[in-house]
Amino acid sequence: MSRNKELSSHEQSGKSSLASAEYIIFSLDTETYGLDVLKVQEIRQYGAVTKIANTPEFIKGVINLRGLIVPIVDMRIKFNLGQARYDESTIVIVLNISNRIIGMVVDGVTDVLEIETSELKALPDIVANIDTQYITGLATYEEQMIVLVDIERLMNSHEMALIDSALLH
Amino acid sequence: MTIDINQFAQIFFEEAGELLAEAEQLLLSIDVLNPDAEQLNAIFRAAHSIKGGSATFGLNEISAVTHELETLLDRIRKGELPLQEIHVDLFLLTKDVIESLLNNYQNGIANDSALVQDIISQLQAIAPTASVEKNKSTCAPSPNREENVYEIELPASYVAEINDLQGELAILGEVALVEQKEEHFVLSLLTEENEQSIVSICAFIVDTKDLKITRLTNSALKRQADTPNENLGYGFFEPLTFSGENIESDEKTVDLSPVVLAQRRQKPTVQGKIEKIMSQKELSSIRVEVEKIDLLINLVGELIITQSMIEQQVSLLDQKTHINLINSINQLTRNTRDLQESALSIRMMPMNYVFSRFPRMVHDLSARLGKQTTLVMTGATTELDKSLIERIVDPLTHLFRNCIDHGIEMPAIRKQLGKSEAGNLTLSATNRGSHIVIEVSDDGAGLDRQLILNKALSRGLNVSEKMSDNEVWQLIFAPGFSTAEVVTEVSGRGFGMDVVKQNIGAMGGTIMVKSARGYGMSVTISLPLTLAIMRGMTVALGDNVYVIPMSLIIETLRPQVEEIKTVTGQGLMVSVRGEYIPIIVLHALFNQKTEITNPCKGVLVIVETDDKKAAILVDALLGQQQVVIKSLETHFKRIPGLSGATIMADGLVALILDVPAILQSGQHQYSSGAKQ
Repeated sequence: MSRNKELSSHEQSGKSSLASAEYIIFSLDTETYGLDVLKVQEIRQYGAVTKIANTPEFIKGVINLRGLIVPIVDMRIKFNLGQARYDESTIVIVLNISNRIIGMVVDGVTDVLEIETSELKALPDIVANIDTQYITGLATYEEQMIVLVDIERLMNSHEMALIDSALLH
Repeated sequence: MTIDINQFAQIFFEEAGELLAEAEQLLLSIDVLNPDAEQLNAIFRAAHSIKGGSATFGLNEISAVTHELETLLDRIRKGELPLQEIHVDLFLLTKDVIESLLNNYQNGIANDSALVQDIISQLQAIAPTASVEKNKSTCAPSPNREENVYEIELPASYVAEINDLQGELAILGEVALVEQKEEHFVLSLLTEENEQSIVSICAFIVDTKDLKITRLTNSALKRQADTPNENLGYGFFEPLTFSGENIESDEKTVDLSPVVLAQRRQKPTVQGKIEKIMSQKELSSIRVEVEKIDLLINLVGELIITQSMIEQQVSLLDQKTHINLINSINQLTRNTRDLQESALSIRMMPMNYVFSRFPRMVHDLSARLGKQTTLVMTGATTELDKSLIERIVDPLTHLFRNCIDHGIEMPAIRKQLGKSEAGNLTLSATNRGSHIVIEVSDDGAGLDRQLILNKALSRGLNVSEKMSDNEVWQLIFAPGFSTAEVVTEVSGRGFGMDVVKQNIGAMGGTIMVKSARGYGMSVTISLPLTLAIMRGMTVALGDNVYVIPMSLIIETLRPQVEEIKTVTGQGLMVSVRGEYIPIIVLHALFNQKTEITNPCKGVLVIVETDDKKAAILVDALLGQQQVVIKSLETHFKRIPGLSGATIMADGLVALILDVPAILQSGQHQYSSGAKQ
């Protein structure tokens, strides 16, 4: 809960600076990722989901988020990162992407960082689990590499199967 | 800041629609020989409001038609012209024309100007002396009436609107253009009304801030008559202020650029109109967006769930030590239930909204077909969900057409048969638990069993003489089925009843026909009260809970081994009292893990849609309950086989089965996955 407050205060201060953006930093297995903090609505514990028939494995199902029926995706399964365990420390980042609410299961949320745009490094030509078109760039923090994800593009993509294909362009 | 006038157009269209409906009701109920002055006034006001609004939005054709209507109505309400039946008919026709014009404007369709001209000339023709020359300048006030002479001074920028303004003011009394100068012009008005009425009339055309109204005292009037050219405003008149604006200083703004001026004029005009609408409506209702209501209903639904979670926790506590807590929770339970009920009732609208249009339709149609009918309507106050109210109109209209065209006999035949010459039509709505039952019935000829059977045979339908009456009546819902001997303009073209059935089905309702030859027929429609809530059977499948709409369930059963049959070793069938029904193996369809794969260990839920039956195999029945239907598409996407989701008392999501889609998507394909 305290994390939530922390988030919202960061959110407000983040709007003023143009040359930098704030990122929420989360971990998937041993890797560290970041996404635009303004896309995050809240962070909550993983709870019971209702499975939906004939959907990909990484779509865990739907949950009741205060009356809204919200899909939950597990990024660890999607990116083939480690074992997808579900326990009390499993975290769901609830994203609000152009008014569509999506829950994203991650191993943990570590920080919110302000990263200067100039600090971003381009992605080297390596094989990644994640299609390079969904990556904004790489950043380094405390000797750790952070992969910054264009979450809006990723969640709206065909491969996430979260949106009716008729709506995709 | 510029105001986009179009954002108010929708309000105008809605308002105009309501006003027209109201005017029609009044017209139909008016006593021609002895008209009630208040009713005439109300019709007049409706016409006037529509005229003002349409002029504001530049809908010139509507304002032209309403202007003529208003002129005629005005003479009638002033007693200059006696009200006659032809007037009422013409007014009704005018109402239809205005309605179609409104529709055209709303949908951006070009109007038929010939139609407009035609109705205008009809309106003019009916009142031959309607266009009385009123430019007779101010005459002395008659001693018997409390008439006053007002002078209305306006900046010259309104010159273009002089004629409109004169037309408007003529409603109040006699108007004349007294003076026209470069910077301003003056109209005089002899009227019984007060200055407030003048302001509100003018508000449709001009900015009230630019208005300067002065009441001429008798002496001033005399004086003015003596020296007509003398300038105004020297102590004889009492300048009237109305909006707290400084009129004098406002006049200086005349030399503003035309654009700014246009904005200045438009803005308050529109606001004036909106305020007027609001103040009229405030008394009885407020306009709220449906989305806001849905949000409220959602939140209340959440509250109910949270509340039942607390209730569950509390029930585990020791009764004695926590008696106060338990009592409070019980209180809370009652309050939340009441809250939910009233929140849901916001979406409810009285059936009167639908009913009100039928007297007119029946009246017109009977007249056209040369038949006589009496329409009796009961239960107009019964309430139904707004979304259903809108969709029930077409099916009911269709049923009425059928009744009048095919059901009710011609007066002469009715007399021979010993019936009253006028056919009786009834429309009733009653509330039955979570359903509303709407019945349309007539005392006409009724359905002809033999004719229907012959027709069905000739169309190659599978029928036999042994079929029960009910089964025969169901045939009229078959696509393209009509027994009308003559195809008329009104009905009998062979489409209709199937559409009615489809529409009702789409609303989650059912339709039933009863008929007796020679005594009439009645059609009963049963609809759920709301689309947002449904009665559902909750069933277990593996560790998931699914909801099956109760309205589709015929029965549930656990079959015996010998009742399960296979077709070509794959497709499963169950024999229910001699009838073979295909089994849909839900866990196979949904790829869901479950312990129960043998139909004899699980439960079969027999469902029926569109005369197709199927037995859905589930693990177990959990219970029946009201569920709040939520869309999966809002944040996710459409999932084949599911029509939505709902939230159970434990806060978990249960999925609602889309039974018609499951039945349609080929039963054999899915049942093949079953293992016995």
